Amino acid sequence: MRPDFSSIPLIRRGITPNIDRSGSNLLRTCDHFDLESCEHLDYSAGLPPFLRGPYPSMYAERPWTIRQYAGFSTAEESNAFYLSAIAAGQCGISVAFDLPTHRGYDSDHSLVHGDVGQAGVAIDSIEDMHILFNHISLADMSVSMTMNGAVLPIMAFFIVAAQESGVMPQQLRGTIQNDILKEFMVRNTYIYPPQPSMRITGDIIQWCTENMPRFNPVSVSGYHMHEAGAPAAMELAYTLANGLEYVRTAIDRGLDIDSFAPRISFFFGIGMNYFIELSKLRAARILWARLIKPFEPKNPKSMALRMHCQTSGYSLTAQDPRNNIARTTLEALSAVCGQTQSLHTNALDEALALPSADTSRIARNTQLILQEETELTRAIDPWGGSYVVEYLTHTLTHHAWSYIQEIESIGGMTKAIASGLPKMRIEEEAAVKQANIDQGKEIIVGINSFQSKSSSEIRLLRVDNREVLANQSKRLSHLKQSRDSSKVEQALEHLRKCASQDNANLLDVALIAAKERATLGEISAALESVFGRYHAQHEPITGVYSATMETDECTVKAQSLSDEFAKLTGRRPRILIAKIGLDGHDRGARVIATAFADLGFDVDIGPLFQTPEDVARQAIENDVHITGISSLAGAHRTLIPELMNIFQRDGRSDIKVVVGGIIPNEDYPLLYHSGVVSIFGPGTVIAEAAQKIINQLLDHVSHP
Amino acid sequence: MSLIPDINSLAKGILSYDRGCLSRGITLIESGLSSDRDKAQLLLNKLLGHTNSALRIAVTGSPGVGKSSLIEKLGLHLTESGNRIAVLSIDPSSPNTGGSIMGDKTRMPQLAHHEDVFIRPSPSGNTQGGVTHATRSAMLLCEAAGYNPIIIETVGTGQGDYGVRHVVDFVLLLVLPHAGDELQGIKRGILEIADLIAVTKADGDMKSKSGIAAKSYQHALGMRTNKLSIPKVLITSAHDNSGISEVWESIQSLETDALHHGHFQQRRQQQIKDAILEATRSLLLSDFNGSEYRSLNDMQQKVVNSKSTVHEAARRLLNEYLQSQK
Repeated sequence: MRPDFSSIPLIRRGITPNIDRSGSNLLRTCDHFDLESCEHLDYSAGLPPFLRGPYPSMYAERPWTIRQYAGFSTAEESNAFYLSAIAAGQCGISVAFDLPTHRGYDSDHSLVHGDVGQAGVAIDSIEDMHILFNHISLADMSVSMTMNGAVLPIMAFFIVAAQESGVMPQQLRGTIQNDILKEFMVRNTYIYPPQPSMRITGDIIQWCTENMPRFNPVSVSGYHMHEAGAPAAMELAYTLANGLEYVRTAIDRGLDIDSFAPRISFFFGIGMNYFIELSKLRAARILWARLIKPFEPKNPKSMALRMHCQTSGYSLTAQDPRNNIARTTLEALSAVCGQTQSLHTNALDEALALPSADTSRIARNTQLILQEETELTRAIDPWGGSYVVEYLTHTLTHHAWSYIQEIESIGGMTKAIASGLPKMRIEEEAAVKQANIDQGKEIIVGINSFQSKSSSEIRLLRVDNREVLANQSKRLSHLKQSRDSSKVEQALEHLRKCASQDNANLLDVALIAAKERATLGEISAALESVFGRYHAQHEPITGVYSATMETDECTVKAQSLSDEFAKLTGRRPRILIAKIGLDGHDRGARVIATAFADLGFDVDIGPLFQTPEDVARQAIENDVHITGISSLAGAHRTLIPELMNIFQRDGRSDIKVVVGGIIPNEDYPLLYHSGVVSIFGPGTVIAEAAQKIINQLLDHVSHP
Repeated sequence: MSLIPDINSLAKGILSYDRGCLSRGITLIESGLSSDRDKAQLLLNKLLGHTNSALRIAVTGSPGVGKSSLIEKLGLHLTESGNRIAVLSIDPSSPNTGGSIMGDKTRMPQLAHHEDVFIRPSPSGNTQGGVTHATRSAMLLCEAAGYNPIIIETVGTGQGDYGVRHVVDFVLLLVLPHAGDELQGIKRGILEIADLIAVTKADGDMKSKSGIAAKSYQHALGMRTNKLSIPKVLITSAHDNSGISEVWESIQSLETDALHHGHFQQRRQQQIKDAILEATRSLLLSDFNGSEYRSLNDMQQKVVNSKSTVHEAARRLLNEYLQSQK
C-alpha cells in the first residue's frame, strides 16, 4: 500500500515574508516567467554594479573576515579577550563601548553610574585606549569601532595611541561606524543636534580620506533599523539614503568621489528570512552602484558596496537559549551566500547578557565551520540564477528604490529625519510585527509555539558594575593629577573656539587634546558647550497595534478589563513607560506604549536617558498607577532598586513597578525583592501582560 | 485605590507646595466616581481664598504646530525670572479604545525636571472643547499651590478648542509659517478667541517665509475679526529660542491693559457666571435619567408612528421630571 499524503496540507500557514506590509506573498513558486521582468540577470561579480559580489574571485581568494563585536567592561578584560580571540583564529577586532562612552560621559559622571561597563568597554582617556590594544600590533590588525556620538575623542584616542606606539595613521586599518543619521532614526546614541553632528561626520570622513587611506571612515548601518523592526526593503532604502547623504557631505567639502567612495562600508542585519536576507545583500550592491554612478566616478571601486553583516539579536530568544545556535548558523549562512565581506555571529546568550567566553567561542566556531568544512568559499554568489532569489532581488531593488525616491523628494535624509518620517515608518512596522508575533501569525519556536517545559540554565557573564566604576574613577583621578592641566585647558579652549567656527577640522583639534590627556568627557563637554545636547522629540504612533489585533480574543479581553477598571475606580489605568539610564534603544518601549494605549490605558511616556529621580518625579506628578521600565543594557540592577527607594521615600510605594526588556533570570530575585511586581521578558504577549497588570491593580482595589 | 490621604492633609499639602499632594488632588478632581466628586468639592472648599491669584494662559493651535516646544522655552524664560509655573496639558483620548498617549514631557525635557515647574498631562476623555470638565478645578488647585502663571495646553484639534476661552484670561494661538494654505485651515472662530498669535518654527528654511506669514495673518485678522483691538502677531522659534521673551512681554502688556480697562475683571466675572450655569446644567443632566420614565416608550412609539414630534416628547419628559421634584 502506498503511503497517503492527501490529508496533509501542503502549506501549513501562509508565509508572509517581511518585505513590506502591502507586499503580496513573494515567497511562492517562482519560475522563468518571473525572471522576464528582471533587468539585472546579466550582472556579475567584480564589475559594476557588482550584483554577485564586489570582487571578481570573492571567497576563493580570501574568505570573509570573522569579526566578532565584543567589549568587556574594562580595557584590561577586553584586551585579554581580543588576544585570545586572535589566537583562536579571529582576524579582526570589533570594539563595543559602554553607553557612557557613547554618550560622551566619563565613567565618574554623576548621571551614568548604572551604565558604566554594562554594554561594552568604558574608555575615558587615551590611557584606556593604550590598555585596550596592549600587545596588539595596530599596523597588522584591522580594528572596527562602533562609535557615533563620541566619535571625535574615540578617533583621537585611537590615532594618538597608535602614534605613541609607533604606528602612523596611514598604516591603520579598520572601520569607524561614524553613522550619525541612523542614531537619530533608531539607536539614539547621539550627543549633539543633527547639524553639528553631520559636521563631525564630515570632519572624520575628510580627515581619514586625507590621512588614513586604509581605514573606512564611515560604516553606513542598516543593522539597527533591521533590529528596530524595519523590513528588508526599508532597511535597504534608508541605509543607502544615509550613505548618499554622507557622499554629498564629502562632495560638498570638495573631496573627489574616487578619493573616499571606495572606503565607505556598509553594515546590515541578517534575520531568519533566509532568501530575503541574502537577496537583500545582492540588491544593496546594485542600488549603491546606481546611486554613485551620477557622481561620475573614474574608479569602478567607488561603486562597489562592501559590507559587514551581523546576525540578528532580535531573532534570539531568552527562552530555551540553545536554540539560538541554530538561528545564528542559518543567518550566518544567509549572509555568506549573500557574499558579505565580514561577519559577526551572535552568541547564544546575547538575548540575556554580554556573551561569555564559552558562548563567544561557539559563535566564532560557527563561522570557522562555514569557512573550513563546507567548501562554501569555492562558489561565487551560489544562489545566483535561482528563480526565487533573482525574483526577490528584483522586487527588493524596486521596493527600496521607491522608498529612496520618497526620501529624495523630501530633500534627502537629513530633512527626512527632521520630519520624523523614517522613524515613524519603522515604528509602524515594528508595531505590526509585534502584533503578528503576539497573535502567533509569525512563529518563534520556544516563544509562541513549541515552548519547552524544561528550563535550560546558561551561565551568564556578570558585570560587577561597582568594581568597574571604582577602577575607572581611580584611573581618571590619577590621570588628572599627572597631566599638565593648563595645557589641557588650552587644548579644550582651542576645541571650543574651532567648534564655534566652521573652518577647522575638529579631529585635528581633538588630537591635540587627546595628546594632552584630556578625557572623553572633557572633550565632549567642550563641544557640547558650543553645540548643545540634543533631545529627540517625536510623536508616538497609535492605532497600529490594535488595528492588527482587532479580533484577537486576548486583546478584546484586555480592553474590556481596562474599561471595567475605569468604571470601578473613576479613571483608566494609567501607566508611565520609561527608559532609565543611558540605553537609547526605545523601539520596545515605544511599541509597548502604543500597544497599551490601544488596549485602553492612559499612557505617559518620558524623555530618554532618565535618572531614577526623573522617573519617580514624572510618575508621581502624573499620578500613575504603574511605572513600566524598559531595560536592555543591564543598568536595571543598579537603577531599579534606586527607583524603588525613591518611591518609598516620597510615600508612593503604592505605584506598582513592572520591568520589561532583557532581564536575565538570575536578576529576577533581586528585582522582586526590591518590590517589582512583574517582569516581562522577550516574547511576552503584550495584551496578556496588560491583563496581568490590571488584575494586579484590581486585586489591590478589592483588598487594599 | 492609591491610599489617598484624607482631605485635610491633602489641602495642607497643596498649600505647602507639596508636588505629590497637588498631583493626587488633581486625580481626585478628574475622577469619574461620584463619591470622589464629593471629596473633590470638599477639597476645593478648603482651598477657597488661596485661588484666583494666578494669570491663566491657554496655548492652542493645531497638532504639530509646536505647542509643547514653545511652552518649554516660554516656561524656561519664566522660571529664569523667578516664576513658579504650572502646565496643564490635555491630550486626546482615542474614541475607539478610550486610551491615550501623553508624551508632553518628552517635548519639554528641561521644564519636566525643573524644580519650580509642575506639569500634568490629562487625557481628554470624552469631553469636547479642548479642555476637560476638570481643567478649571485643576487650575484652582495649582493656584492654591502657589503656581503663577498657569499655562493650559489644549488638545489642538481646532474647532473643539473654543472651550478653553471660558477658563483662561488670555488665549495664545500658534500658527505655522505657511501663510496662505494655513489660513484656509483655521476656523474663523479660533481666530476670534485668540488674544495673541505667534507664528512658530520660524527657523532654518522657514525663517524668511515667516515674516510674510505674519503679515498676512495680521492683514487677515484686520479683515476677519470684529474685535476692537486686533491681536498682535509675533514670530517665534522654539528651536532658535527667538521671539519667546516677546511673547511674554506681549502677554504682560495685554494683562496691564485689560486690568486698566476693567476687561480682565469682567472676563473673570463672566467666566464664573458661565461656569455656574454649566455646572447647573451638568447637575441637572446627571440627576435626570431619562430611561427611568415609563412615558419614554410611549412617546417613542408616538414619534415612530408620526403621532408626535421629538420636541413634544422631550417637553413631556421634562414635565414629568419637574413634577417628581416637587
